[in-house]
Amino acid sequence: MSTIKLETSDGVKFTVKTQVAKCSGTIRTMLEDIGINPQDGEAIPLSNVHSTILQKILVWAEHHVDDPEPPREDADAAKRTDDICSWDEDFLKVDQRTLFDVMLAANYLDMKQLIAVCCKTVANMIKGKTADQIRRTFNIENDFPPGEEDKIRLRNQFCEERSR
Amino acid sequence: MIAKCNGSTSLNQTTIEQHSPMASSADAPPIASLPPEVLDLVFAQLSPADRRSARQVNRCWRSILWANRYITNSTLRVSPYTLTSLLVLEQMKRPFRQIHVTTSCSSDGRFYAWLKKLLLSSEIAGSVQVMKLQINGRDINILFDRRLQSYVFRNVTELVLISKPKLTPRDLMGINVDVQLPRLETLKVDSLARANYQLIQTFSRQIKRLVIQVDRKHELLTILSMSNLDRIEELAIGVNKKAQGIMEILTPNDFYVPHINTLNKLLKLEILDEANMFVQVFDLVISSAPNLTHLRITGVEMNPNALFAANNLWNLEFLQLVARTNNPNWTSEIEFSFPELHTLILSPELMGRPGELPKLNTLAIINPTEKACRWRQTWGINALALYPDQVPTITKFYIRGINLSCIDAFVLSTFPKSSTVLAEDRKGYVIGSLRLPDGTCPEPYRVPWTGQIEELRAEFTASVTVKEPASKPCGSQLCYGSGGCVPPPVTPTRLSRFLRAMRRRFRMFGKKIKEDFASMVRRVQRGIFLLGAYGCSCCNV
Repeated sequence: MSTIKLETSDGVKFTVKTQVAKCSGTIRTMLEDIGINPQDGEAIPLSNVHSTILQKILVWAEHHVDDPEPPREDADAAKRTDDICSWDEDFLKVDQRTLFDVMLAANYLDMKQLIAVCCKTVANMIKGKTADQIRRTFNIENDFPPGEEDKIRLRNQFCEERSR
Repeated sequence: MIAKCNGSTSLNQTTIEQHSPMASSADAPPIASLPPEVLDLVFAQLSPADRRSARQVNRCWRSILWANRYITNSTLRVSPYTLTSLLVLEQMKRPFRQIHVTTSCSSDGRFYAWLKKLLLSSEIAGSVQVMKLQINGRDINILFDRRLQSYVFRNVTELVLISKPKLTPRDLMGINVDVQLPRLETLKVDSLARANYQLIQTFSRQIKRLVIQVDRKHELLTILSMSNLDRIEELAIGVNKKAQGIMEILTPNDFYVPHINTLNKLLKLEILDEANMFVQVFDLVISSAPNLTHLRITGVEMNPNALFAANNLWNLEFLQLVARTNNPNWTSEIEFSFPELHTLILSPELMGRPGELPKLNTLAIINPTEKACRWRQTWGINALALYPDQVPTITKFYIRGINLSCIDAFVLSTFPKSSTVLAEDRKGYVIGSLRLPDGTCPEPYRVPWTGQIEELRAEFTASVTVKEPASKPCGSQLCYGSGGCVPPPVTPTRLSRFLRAMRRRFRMFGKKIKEDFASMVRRVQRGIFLLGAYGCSCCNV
């Protein structure tokens, strides 16, 4: 089993099975298209990813390494966010900062499945809440000038999204 | 913000221009660190109602959710209550693909002026694909006045005319307008007021698909006799339930050559007849349209002749014949043979035996009424019992509105292992299911049997009762049918009573049956076959 080395932003080096590392589209591209030779023993620098986050992501990748490719979804298809598997649900039971850092790293590493699961988790945090509750959940500041909110409400009236 | 490492970018470049996400300032909310494209992925998972509230959170979220890709998936609703100022008018000019225009009696000249401006704007006129108008003849005349302007909506493929809740004298006005819809293919009309009739005539040369609701038989006959329905391929006819006393029945003598010629062109035909208007002519209508690939009939009563007529349609891919029959001499003599058929939907009283059905994969038995129904005559269930063996290609079996006896439940259990079986009562509650994965929502296993007319009617009801849709409680729990009723669990008492009754029933059968029965008992014990509220009607489990 071939392995490659990854180096995180804080200088920690990880030795990872190539197969696991290839869950990341970015690393796959580096290895296959750019032709970085993993046998050189030189670590691939991942300057956007902190070691704590990479460790977490590698745990996820290890668990999902044998997953089949997901079927291509129709853009208009009804979205389901209740189909997160229980392992992932436990895996993502972390504080918001870690969750968003995982998302950022997954986005950088181009791991579509992990992003999808994270997005569903965040979407579930938004679901069924009013704007005010959402702001409190994520600690977002309301930066609308007074009166602006009414305008948006007006806009919401004529723009009716398809419920199907 | 993070840039992805593209194949062409060298490693060193990507590392320089970025800073670590961990270095972002500590007091900013963590979610602010997410770039717009990731937030966009999150928002794509939200329901429309949730998107509404998300839009009101802050500026950043609003601007993402106001992007064109969300706009194109939503409907622009124009009415005197939403189009209230020039400012709103400017905001409405976005690439909407659907527009729904409603006027009211109290709308003033200003509203019409704004509405005209909106419809003439390049954004709306160029992008709209589906146009729904809930306006009367007078308003159509005001809006699309021939003397002022010629209106061209170059991308409109579907025009829906929805009637107002109350018919007023204005609805009876004729129209004199100049609207061009060069790509129009679908026309849906839910009442044949004079203006709507004239619009059908205006576009009759273009349309491929026509969905109409009629009240009187002469309305239907006039439409069918239009000589310039050149391209028509699909026709859906709805007949509304009548007030008591008024009874109009089509007879074979009502049909002349022009009517037959129109029917002859059709590839798809749907009839939803609630007034029993077609009872005498179903077989005539079916045999006049020999090219059909898709036939969907839901009626009150049907003469079994219609089944024989349908059996001659060799191109059929989809067949639905759902109605009662009062014909006392009818037995399931018929043997269905369709080389191309993939979906077969029948009513419990009008069943046929399976013949050559090499491609059939979906079978449904539907009782469309609110009344309870049982397989009283044994031949109905006998005919069904032949399907599992003779048509091994069936992957989906759905039964609705029929109180199952033990024998029925047994027949259901004989469907091959590769198929799913779902039984629901007449209100859509799950009675039983077989080989459905645990904890699934039955929605995808239901066979849709209501057609385009029902959709059009829903459009009307939705526009009459305009209110905020309640958010559906469809979360991680099971959702059972329309009422959200979860069938009671299989308890040991219920199970043993059921099995005792089953054993009594099956003692009379031979050894083969006994083996099948044993395998069914095992299945029941594993709890795969849920016994619902309506459960077994013959042994009161």
